[in-house]
Amino acid sequence: MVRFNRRISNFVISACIAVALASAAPAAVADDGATANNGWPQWLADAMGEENLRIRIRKVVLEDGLIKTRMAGKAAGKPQQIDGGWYLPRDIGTGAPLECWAFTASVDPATIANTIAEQILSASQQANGPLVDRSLYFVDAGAIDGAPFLALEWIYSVGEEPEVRVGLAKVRVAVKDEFSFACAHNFVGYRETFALAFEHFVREAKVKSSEPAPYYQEIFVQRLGEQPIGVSLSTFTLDEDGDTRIEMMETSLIPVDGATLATSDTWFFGWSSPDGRLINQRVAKSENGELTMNLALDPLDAGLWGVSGTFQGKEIAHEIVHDSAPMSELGQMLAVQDLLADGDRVSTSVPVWMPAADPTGFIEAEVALEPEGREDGLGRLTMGPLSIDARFDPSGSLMAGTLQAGAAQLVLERVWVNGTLP
Amino acid sequence: MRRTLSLLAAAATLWVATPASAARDDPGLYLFRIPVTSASKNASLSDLIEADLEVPDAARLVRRLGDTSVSVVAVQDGVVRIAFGADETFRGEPDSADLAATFVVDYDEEPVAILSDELQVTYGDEPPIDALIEFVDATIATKTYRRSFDLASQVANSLEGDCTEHAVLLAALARALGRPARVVSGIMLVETSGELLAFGHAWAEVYDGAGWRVADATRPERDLADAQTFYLPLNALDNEGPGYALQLAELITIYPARIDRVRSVEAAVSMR
Repeated sequence: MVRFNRRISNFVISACIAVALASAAPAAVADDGATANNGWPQWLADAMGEENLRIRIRKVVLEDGLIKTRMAGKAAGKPQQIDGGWYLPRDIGTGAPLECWAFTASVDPATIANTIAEQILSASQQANGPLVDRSLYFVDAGAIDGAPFLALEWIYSVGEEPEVRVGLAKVRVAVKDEFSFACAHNFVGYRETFALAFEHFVREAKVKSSEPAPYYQEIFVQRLGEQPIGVSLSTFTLDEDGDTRIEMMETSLIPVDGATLATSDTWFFGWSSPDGRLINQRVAKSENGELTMNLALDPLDAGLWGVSGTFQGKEIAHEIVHDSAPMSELGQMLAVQDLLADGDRVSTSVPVWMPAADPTGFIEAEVALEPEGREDGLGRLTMGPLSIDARFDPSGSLMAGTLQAGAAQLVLERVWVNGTLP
Repeated sequence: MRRTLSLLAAAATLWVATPASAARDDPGLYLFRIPVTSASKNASLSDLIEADLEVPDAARLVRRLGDTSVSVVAVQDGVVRIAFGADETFRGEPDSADLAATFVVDYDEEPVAILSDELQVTYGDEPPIDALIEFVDATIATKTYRRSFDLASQVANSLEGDCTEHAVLLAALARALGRPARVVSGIMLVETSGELLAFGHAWAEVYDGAGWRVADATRPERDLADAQTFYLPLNALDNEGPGYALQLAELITIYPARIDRVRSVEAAVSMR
């Protein structure tokens, strides 16, 4: 049976964030003066370099008892219960509070990061005057232990001459267990301080989870060249029937140019039989905050599968005829595991459902091992027209993959793994 | 293995643009920059040029170019040498698919139908291709790379996008008027002020009764005064159903990592 995680809508979260950020502090005041090596005004370069890394960390326990953690600075007010979680303002000794949220459910990290940043810019404009300029300053993706996170920073200026002010909106969002954590800091400088404060908040968080413990989890970071643009988390949990519930979250912040950001959040929920055959699957994807895919794949009859839901805003209902069941993520790993263990075979191939590529059919995914690199798990993964240089561990899990795309290189790298596969 | 979904998703982001390539001051709307070198310094290109394309899958590129008016001169060590003119197109007579309302080119959806009516009110019942280009350019008021690859009805609703959205909407409006059209992806090569630039790009091809014609509603000529542009088609979208992204992904294998030794045909050099 499919059982979805508790999730709260982006709309609810956006409303909560908007209320909280109404008190966002104004940005730093611009000044005339010398020029730094990077071409910035010296005062701005100096402000950007300010830190407070020795800030005290304090224990925080929320009233509902669902979350205990440790946070930087001191409370800048009582934790406020909001719809779906808590708002936790902190004083870290800067002119603007460190504002954090703990959500008691999963969120779309990229959408929320973008929403918080936009709310900061909006609040700053209300307080200081119209937007003069904005530039993407920093985008990152990674993992804090087992919690995938995204980081986003905009540098901007607001107001009117001679009162133009410069601001730096810093936002980080992470997902841990079925909870989510976010922090924002609207202040020039204190970049590392902010990153460390967020890391403490997430790393120290102990949540009271109602979900069964997973037997396997892995996190991948996705890079375009050297630029991290996304992170994904897969969680495998055994149910009472011996089937595996597979939940996968992919989230991306894609800097498409110096002043434009595209966001993408995708959630997969599905069930796999112990031998890796897919029992069913749901996928929901939002791009730039808009739901672009909400599909279900279910077995209809022997060799017949049904796809239904919405795709790019349109209802679709499609039947897929295929002799064998598509393989779940677990099944794909098991297929590679078998291949690596069988010295007589050089390749394996399984059908997979990749709705982002084609929701109306299954695609054959083939792994061919390199004769010289078999011991190291080196091979080539081919899915439809795409071919990826891959490295697998003995359990069949992908450790790294590289796709050459014209002049660009797309890289997928496993950065964290916990548990073992069957 | 399933992790490659992420890579495919990332591949799709190439339809947005790559961060390193899309500087804000670059001209026009395009997908991404491609490194390009010229074989001749300070000499303007003639109407017919040659270039060496270094591609991941040379055989696939050659097969694709076989459907176009581009000439493949030689293939060696993953480098494909081609000769092409300013406005190359895919070959073949138009057929019913080039007129159909499809999942991607969905001119049967109301938002596109409304725009089609507006187009005819403004330019008459049979607007020329240049009017289509002008209309789409003006209609997509927000030029942005945020959209990945939207359906025509989505473009008609959002009125924003990059070159792919311009191409899809233009093809939809052309078909709505009963004119065969298709969505093409490829490379735009530009020589401007002595500088050579190459971009991944998308545009439409519209049949004008005598042949296929390049219709680029991003109107690069506006940003590139006195420039010479060359359209090199690599893919005409055949799969306009929900699986269209799979065909777009194929492009990744034939987009060149670099383009070298661009030169006028009379200055062509031997392939070493």
